[in-house]
Amino acid sequence: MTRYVVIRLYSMLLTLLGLTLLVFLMLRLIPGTVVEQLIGADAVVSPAMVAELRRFFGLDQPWWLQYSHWLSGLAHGDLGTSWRTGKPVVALILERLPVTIELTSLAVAGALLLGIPAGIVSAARRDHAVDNLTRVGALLGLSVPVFWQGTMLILFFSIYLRWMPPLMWVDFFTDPRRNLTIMVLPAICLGTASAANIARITRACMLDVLRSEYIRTASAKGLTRRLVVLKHALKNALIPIVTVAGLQIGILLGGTVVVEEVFTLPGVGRLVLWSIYQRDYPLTQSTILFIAVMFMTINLAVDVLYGYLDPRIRYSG
Amino acid sequence: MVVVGAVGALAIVVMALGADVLAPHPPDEQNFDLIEARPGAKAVFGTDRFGRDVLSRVIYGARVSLYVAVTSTALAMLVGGAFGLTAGYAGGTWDNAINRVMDVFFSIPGLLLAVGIAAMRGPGVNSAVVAITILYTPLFARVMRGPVLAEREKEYIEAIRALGATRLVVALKHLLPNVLSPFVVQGTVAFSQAILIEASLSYLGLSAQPPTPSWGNMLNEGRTYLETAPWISVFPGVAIMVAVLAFNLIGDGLRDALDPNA
Amino acid sequence: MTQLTRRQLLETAGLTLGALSLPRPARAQPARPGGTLISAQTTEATGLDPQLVPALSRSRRSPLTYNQLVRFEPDMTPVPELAESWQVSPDGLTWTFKLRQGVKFHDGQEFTSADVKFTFDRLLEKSASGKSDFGAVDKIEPVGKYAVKFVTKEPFAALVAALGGFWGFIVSEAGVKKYGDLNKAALGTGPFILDDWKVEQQMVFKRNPSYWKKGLPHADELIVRVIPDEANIVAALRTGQIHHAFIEDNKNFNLLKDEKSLTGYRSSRLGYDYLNMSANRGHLKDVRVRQAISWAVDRSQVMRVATAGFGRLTAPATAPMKQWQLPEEVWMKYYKPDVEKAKRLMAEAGVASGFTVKCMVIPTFPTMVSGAPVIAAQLKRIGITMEIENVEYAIWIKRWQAHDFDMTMNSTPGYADPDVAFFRALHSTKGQNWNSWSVPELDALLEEGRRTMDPKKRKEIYDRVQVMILENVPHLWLYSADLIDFTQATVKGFRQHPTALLYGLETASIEKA
Repeated sequence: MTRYVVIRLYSMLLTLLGLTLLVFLMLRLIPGTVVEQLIGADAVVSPAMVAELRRFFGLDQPWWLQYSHWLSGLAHGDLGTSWRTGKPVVALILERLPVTIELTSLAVAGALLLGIPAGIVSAARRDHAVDNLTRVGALLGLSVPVFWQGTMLILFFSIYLRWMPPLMWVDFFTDPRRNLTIMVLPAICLGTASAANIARITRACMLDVLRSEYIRTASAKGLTRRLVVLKHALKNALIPIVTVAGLQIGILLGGTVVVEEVFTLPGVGRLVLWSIYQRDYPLTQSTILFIAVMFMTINLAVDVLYGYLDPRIRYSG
Repeated sequence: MVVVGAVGALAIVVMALGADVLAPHPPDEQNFDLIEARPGAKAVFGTDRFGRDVLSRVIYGARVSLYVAVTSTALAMLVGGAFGLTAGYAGGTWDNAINRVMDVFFSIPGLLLAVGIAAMRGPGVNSAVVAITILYTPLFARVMRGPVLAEREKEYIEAIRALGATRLVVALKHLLPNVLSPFVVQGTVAFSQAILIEASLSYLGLSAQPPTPSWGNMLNEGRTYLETAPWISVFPGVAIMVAVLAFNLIGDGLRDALDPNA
Repeated sequence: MTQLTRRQLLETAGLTLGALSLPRPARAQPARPGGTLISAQTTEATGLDPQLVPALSRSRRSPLTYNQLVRFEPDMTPVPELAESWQVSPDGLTWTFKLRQGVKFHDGQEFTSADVKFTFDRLLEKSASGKSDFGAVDKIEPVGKYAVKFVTKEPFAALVAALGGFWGFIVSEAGVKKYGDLNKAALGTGPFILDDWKVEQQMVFKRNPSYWKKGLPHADELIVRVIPDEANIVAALRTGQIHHAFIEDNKNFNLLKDEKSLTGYRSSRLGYDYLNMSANRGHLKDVRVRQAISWAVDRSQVMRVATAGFGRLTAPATAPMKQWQLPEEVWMKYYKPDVEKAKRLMAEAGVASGFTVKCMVIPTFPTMVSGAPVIAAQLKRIGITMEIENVEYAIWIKRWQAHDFDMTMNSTPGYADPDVAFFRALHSTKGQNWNSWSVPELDALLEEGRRTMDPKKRKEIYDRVQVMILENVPHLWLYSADLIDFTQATVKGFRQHPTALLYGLETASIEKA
């Protein structure tokens, strides 16, 4: 196992190196730079001033030099300084990371709490009304666009219930109640598709297991249906479910971009979008890299957990 | 269920192809005597701030959604399939190289990647196509490569090779048909997701640009009218849901039919 | 203007007189209401340096931390601010400003003539945009500690307007030395002290305890929040989460005007929305084509869609520029749509069959997005196909600077003085000439207007300038959207300003219910 993790970490490093180049070059391909952003529309600017600004941001250097500067910074653990805010990128990310992490965790937790029981019930009562309802519900959950769901929820709450979540962001530790009222709608939106996915996979796995020999044996031995389903079947179906749930975390991390935009939450996703529009290269580059590291770490953790849960799986490099 | 899906999908396709005939008005026709009108006899789905007919715009919006979903999914299946097939079959350095590049694209969350690419290419329908294609290509490559790896070890392939068939012929004529079904199932799932991703990009202002109607940008435009004219955003939202649901149902049906293990 | 604003104008006059009568007799002040005032808007400032950042998002916030020598009241009359009085020499070349004494910067240093000199030397050296407001200024000389002389190259009637404009905020030399530039920090003499700034979230200001306007500001703390989605601002106003918001999407006025817990403010804006045309491109070179476009566009309809009807059509000089405005009957006749006349002009220009032009729109600017399709539909009637190009802000700026466009939707915060308003935009060689055009008679008139000190003669000149503009159509003045603000009904003393600058927050207070 250790060997496997080491190899994975090594290949992660290679991937990240590739990613740095990809992100770096892609950013430079977008027309316009931070200089035009800074100058603004109504401005009267001399070419000398533009040149000075370009020099200031190092935009006059050849790309490979800019790239190697960034890399050497990264190698020293320096994510760089944001051009538009003048703050260290690390500080900006850390400021916003709790929002994104909380949002993702709430969504995943909700999805698991809803998805797994729904899947179990659906499988146990195959082709009953409950099953059909769950399946249709799951399909709907997969089909609803996150942002539309968000808009509709806001519409419903603000107009019909005359209520809306507080706008001023507060973190969980300052005011947990207020924080959770802010987070509940976004988390529902973000988690819906995941809940649907988890319900579907749970149902499929449970059906698989329920069909298998030993469950039939267990049933034949006269164990109650409830016991069979919960104790034996679920235990065996759990492995693929955990995997899917793990992968969902990664997908949700991407989904936060949209949800944060709809609910205007100060998270990392919106930071990335904003930085792209502002042409704040250091901020975009390093934040995307940071998200990638998070994303890959989660995926690695899922794989390791998978191996742990199911000792039959052997890892090879 | 599949039948319901097929009917829904057919309806969407007919809407897209027959928009010129079906839509009561041209999508960008403005009517200043009928601004933000409620759904009613004059405009079944109501009108927007320019007095444009929402129904007509929803019908025309199907074009953007389908165009982006079809081209991007097809392109990604073609390119990704080719990469996956060759990587799985040839193995070695080529396989390694493709895997490395794929890993890079898998290293960031999908939606973020799509948003990033579209933002970088500048807004537009074709940016959405490029973004979704790039997002999907590694996915299809992976879905193709796995079964190919398993299949090429089988005896019949070796037998055909021994009979002197070229590698290309083996790959295309014998390998491909046997690994195609999971690939196609993945295709329909990806297709319905592509509709959703396009809508998200449109919503963020990165795909179809006004005045071209797309479901996503209609939602975005309608968003500031939620209180006074909710119909501007309700109907395109429903359209997205119906379309995605329809193709999801078809995907489920195909999976059941083609993939007996599921 | 609404009833409300007029009443507030009166209050304002009283306040100014009070501030002028120095030294103030010490008298018992009613208890200051204090508290934290929360204001919201959709856009974040790109930077804060009042001398380097041209964006309106910066200018709006500048009065919170800085003062000008002169400030324009909401009715656009100049009143003394950091300058107590001023006079101009008979030849019109030297302006002397007597400075207010005992004013302190946020760091406790005293405000003196050296700061004024430093401010404008820095502006002229560093800020190309700011410099163009002060084009005729030759040098600035301190006269003792509490007076300063502006020497101009030629008589420069617009100096006071420039001092009270977007580029007139007085910075401190110590502040610039300390922070390098003032983009992320603020050090002025203004009513509030910048305490903390979380970009794209909020700025927190503390009350300046030694502000030179005694008793002001009323609030102990001011928070300026950025809430990018105006629907959320509307909801926040309703649910009482914010005290004040500047509404950008005028149709939202309808949503809020009947809320009993809120006070609405609506008045005319100094700025306006317009349609730029490059007069050196294709068929747009021909003045008849531009005239045809002007006759074909129904400005009232554009305004109705873009501002939900909360706005007004405008002459080149907008309503708040009062004394400079042409009589309505002079300009309004150019705005009556006449498709037949437009077609005739197109035919005379030899393009009866029409042509295609492209028009840039920035997708994040609501009035551009909603105005452009209306214009496109109207131009279609005379055979012109206007293709809308959606251009992201960063790219738009680049193309705008390079004059690289056929047409573009545009808007400007406006200027108090006609020289500043017209010279820069329209003079073919000495201005920026955004429309790439040239009308030599107009150039001559603009130069004459700049040199003329006599208000009556100036007025005549700018009347002629405006008619010439209407005839030659460099760009289309579309409409001037009303300024709309809402506060909680418990907030008293807030005043709107035609420039949309946040002058009104220093007098705002939260009354206890």
